[in-house]
Amino acid sequence: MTIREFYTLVGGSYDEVAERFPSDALILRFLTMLPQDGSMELLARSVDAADAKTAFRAVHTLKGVALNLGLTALAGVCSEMTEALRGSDTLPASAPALFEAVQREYDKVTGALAQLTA
Amino acid sequence: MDERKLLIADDSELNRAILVSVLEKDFDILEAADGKEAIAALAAHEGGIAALLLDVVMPEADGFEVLAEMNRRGWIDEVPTIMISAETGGSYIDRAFQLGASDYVSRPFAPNMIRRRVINAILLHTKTQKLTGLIADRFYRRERNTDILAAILGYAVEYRSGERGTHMTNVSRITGLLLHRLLERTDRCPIGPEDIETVCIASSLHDIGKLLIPEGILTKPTALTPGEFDIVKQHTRLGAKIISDLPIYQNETIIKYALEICRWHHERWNGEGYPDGLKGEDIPIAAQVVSLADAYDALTSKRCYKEALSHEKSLEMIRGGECGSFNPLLLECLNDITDTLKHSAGAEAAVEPPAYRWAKELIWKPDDSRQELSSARMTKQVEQELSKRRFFSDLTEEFWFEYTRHPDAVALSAGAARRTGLPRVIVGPLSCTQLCSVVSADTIQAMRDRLLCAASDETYLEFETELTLDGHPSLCQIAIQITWASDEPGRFSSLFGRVLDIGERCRRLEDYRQAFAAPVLHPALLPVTVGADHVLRITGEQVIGVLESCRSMFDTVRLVDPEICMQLTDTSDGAVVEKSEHCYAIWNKTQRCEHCISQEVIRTRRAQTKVEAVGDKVFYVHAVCVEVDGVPYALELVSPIRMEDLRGDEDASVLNQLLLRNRQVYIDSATHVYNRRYFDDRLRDLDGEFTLAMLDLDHFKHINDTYGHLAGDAALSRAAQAIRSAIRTGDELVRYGGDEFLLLFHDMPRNALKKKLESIRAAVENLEFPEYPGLRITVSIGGAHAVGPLADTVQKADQALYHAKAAKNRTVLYKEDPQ
Repeated sequence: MTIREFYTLVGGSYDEVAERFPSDALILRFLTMLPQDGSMELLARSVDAADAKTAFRAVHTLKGVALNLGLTALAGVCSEMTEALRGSDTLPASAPALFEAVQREYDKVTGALAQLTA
Repeated sequence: MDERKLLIADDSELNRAILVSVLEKDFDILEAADGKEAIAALAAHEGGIAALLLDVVMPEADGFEVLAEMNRRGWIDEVPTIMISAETGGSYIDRAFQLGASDYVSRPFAPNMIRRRVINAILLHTKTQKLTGLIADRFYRRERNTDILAAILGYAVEYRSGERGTHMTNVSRITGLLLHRLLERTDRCPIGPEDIETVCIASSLHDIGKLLIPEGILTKPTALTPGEFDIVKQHTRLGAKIISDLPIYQNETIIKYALEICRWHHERWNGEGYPDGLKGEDIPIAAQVVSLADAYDALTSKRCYKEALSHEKSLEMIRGGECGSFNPLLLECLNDITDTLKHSAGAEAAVEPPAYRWAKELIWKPDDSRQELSSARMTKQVEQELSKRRFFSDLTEEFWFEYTRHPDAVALSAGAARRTGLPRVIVGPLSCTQLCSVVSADTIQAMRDRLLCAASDETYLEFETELTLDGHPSLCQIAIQITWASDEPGRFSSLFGRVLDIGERCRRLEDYRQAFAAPVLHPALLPVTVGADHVLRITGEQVIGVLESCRSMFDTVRLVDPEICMQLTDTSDGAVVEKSEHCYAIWNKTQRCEHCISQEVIRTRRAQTKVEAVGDKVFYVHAVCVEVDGVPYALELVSPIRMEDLRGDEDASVLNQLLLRNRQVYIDSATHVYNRRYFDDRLRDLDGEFTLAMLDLDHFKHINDTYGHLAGDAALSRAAQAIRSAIRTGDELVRYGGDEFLLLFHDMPRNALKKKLESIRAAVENLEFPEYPGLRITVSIGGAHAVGPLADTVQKADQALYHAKAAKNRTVLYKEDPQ
């Protein structure tokens, strides 16, 4: 699998990322750091604990990371959840569904990443 | 780039890693995972951090809190900060800049760009610091040089008198201390704080006249003879003369003070000083202060003819009047600063360098830049609106124009420019000959006249005139929207207009009229149906015939082309095409009817009815759609509603029954205005921007009780009449309740409302009732202007009315509660 194929698979934009990063090696390096970035776990934990404020922060950070890496689809669902949680003290009713969407995209990315680095 | 430190604050390790990878070649990188760590790092490396990259959303303390802390601790001016965030909302950006961030970068970013931004931010910061330092330095050095020069001059004068002390600098210093203290004690001092420095420098010159006194006398070790003393006393006059004889700088402030000080530093409060014997407040304050400083210093320093006295003894002698009398307030000041005098005797004047602070303010000016930011955004929004308008204007075939008074110019739409052959923008239109060939001078004059007599609440104007389009004259209809100047009453600031070429439509109407000249068919044989869903289809020649046959039933029959508001009217004298009047002129209106029935009819192809009031009379209008050779018009059938129709005549046709019903339904019999039912059916559910008022007759019950019910009715009806005369057509007056009215204005500017309501109130107040002498009525009025459902605006007006009712005979406008 090439990096371009990876991006197509996860609904990202390789061209966009390639413009910003000087080399594929660099892109790959950061992509592999993604699973260690704690935002997804933090998000899962805080949704479970109904901690809206922490969940907002976590999904917002994850959104930033996704944007940086050109993972457009993931950034999109993160953005939706961010907006739904913005400024509120409690989880809205849409939270579980939105979280699921985020989880789905995230898993897609990590799954494809495993193939890429295999 | 030297190995300075860069602090990166972001809760995501990945984000930090990306930044590190870009910047580690140029900087020594410190990382922080949350706001608290960032603040700790700033404190630990105070002064050593070249720049800060700051994320917004972080735990413990977010980006804004970090900025706030940096402000509190004064770091904000030392560390250029670049905010990085996935947030792109304007409020975030604004807030960041307001808190002193140097730059704002949104995610996703290009790593190379980040590097550039960081380097630039640091460069800018460094340059600014250097510049501040340079300016301050220069300034400071200048000032210092001046001080030194003055000291040398003073020393030279003393030198000649055989003294080797620092008398001049002492006097200068003491003068400064006294003046500062004086300003703290009184606000009537004619010398402002900005002049203190000048006075101090001028004070060094106080004995300059001694340069012209013979050396022998000045250096005499023994007491002077009275004759010698007189000569020495001349130094005051001589010093002033030297300065006033200066061929240059005569207008400078320092010269003014130097003159005062030189001449009068030996005057005394009780008038016993020299050379002029000035007394009390006549002695300029600068001279007074210097004379006291001089006296004090003379006592406390060693001279060639005496020893130095102690501080306490000197004060005692001065207070005791042994050196002459002084201004009591100054003596108190001297007392106040006694400690400073004692301990800094002989010390250099403590020069507080305001230079650095001043230079910094000059360069940085933080408040201005923040304000500039929000006004820049507003400008951007306005620019966007303008470009939208331009785009539209460029595309349109239609003929639009805009005239502005300042600047005096006309702007045309693309269509307008093409059809007139004029340029898109004309500056100084009235003096443009090209324009005058399109629009005749008469037209312009007529327009100006119309505008001159337009009231400030009129915002719409419509009229016909001839313009030269595509090279030949065409009859056109011009509709203008007027924007009144908010700062110049009675003058408009701009006009926005649309021009319609109506020549062809007029011609068509004219054709129908002429077709009748050669009647081909007998009118009676024409199919005429005036049903609800029917669209009557006829030919041009049949028009007049149709009109004539309807004439038997209705008072006025007309064929209306609502696009250009004109009609072909069949009156008792035959058919007339009215071109100069508009279809709404028949209702005494100056612009298109709010519910233009003809437009409705043509649009829906269904018959419509409405009721129109003109002054005291009420009319019933029935309209159907008519297609003449395929061109749609409205056929309007108008009849007045007469009192006689109420009486059940045998001749009363179905139509009359209809008329009667409508009248009963919607007109209040006592006051001849719309009734509550009209409001409920037609007005209550409206939504939009409304200006309306609620009016309530004061003491109505009392009137009924005192003068009887007939009087009460008369009061009501006269009041209604008075209100009706004060309003324009298009405004709707409704009898809302027993003695309550609702007045709905059509297109009334907010600032004209109060005046209008006041005039109504006054009109009612001035009503006289010949049949009931002594009867006076007044009305309380509550006005409101709001956007939204009409019912809400009515409520607001009601609240305002409630307040007006408290005082009676008042007008109150609804004001939003400032929350």
